[in-house]
Amino acid sequence: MTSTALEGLQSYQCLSHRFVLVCPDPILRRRVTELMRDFTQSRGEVAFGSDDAGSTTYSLLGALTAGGRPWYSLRRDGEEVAVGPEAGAVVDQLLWQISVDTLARPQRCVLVHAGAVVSPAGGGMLILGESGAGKTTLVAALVQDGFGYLSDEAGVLDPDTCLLQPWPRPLGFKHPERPLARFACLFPPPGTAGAHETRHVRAELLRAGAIAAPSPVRHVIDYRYEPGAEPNVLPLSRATTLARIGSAAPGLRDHGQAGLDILGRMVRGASTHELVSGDLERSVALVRELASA
Amino acid sequence: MTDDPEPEDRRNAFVPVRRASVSETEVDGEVVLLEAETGAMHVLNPIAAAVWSALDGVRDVSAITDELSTIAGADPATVGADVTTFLRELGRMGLLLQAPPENEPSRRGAGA
Repeated sequence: MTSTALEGLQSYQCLSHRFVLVCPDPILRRRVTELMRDFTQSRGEVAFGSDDAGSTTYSLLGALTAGGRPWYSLRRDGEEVAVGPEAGAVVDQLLWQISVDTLARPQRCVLVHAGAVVSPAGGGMLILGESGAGKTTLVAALVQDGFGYLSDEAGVLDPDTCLLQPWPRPLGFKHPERPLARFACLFPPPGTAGAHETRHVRAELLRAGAIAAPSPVRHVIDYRYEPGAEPNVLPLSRATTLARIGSAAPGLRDHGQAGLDILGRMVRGASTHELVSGDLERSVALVRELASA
Repeated sequence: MTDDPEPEDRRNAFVPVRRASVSETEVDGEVVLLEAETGAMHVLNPIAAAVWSALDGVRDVSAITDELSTIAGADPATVGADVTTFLRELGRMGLLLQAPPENEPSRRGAGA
């Protein structure tokens, strides 16, 4: 067994999802390890070929084509799930796949598909919204403006403490080819290679010390970005909000009554609103207002 | 010749039973339901929540109607019709073991 082989294999845990990452390329591995360090626990290097029972193996492999161009592939338990000439795009796919697999696993905590931040006053905020509703963009802007970062993908609610736990994965921007002015420095200029792919950005790049501690939920906002829409905040009944939260909690069925009770407890202590907006900056201002009310 | 009960009698004698897979919690007077087999969420307003809370798996529609019409001080016939309509809706949503009998033409007087 060589040291190279040992260095190419790393074992991680992300909430209850255990996985092994195989990445023989040291440069690529450093890049991935850097992106994953906030939201995964490294369980250390494991011996090459050892059996980490119950875990998933992601293999991130690089090669050269016959023409001498780099070519990357991502395999999940041996099955190829992404290929391409850009390492960044395949790394993005890896992070996305880890998130999807984490959300699909049974968890001790109740997971809600939502953004999660903490206001400067210390109140946890759950930002609901369909995929593509603009949660990540709103979360990123709030973090830049002083909110603490918990996650752009899932609110993780601890059933014992009813606190929102951090799951600070890198924020996944879906349309970096048309970056908003406040995020422009984070992405390759439009028209350059890779500018059209999803790009993951560590919260620390948005603001140093951005990752927040576990916090009680004080606000729930159901958010939707709608181009051209005049920003509008409306109160939402707590019961309707709870139903929407439950619909966004893929593992709630497994938690049953206990899960519904914990979500009910959470929502009873929170203000609940719906926000539709076509203007990010005004959305941020409205959310700040709600958080300070 | 058997004496089949009238549809209305059968509806009044129907005992609605909640599915065991349904969890519930009350928030601000409304009740939120989770059906664990499908993951579907439902919100019951306070009136619907009162009917839901009366479903103890023992009492029939007639007894439930009596209780609710007494509490509300409303006409039992009106309350009974509303309760039956709501129970059918719950049945369609998969929240009851069985939905109340549907309306059907009476067989009496049909020339049998």
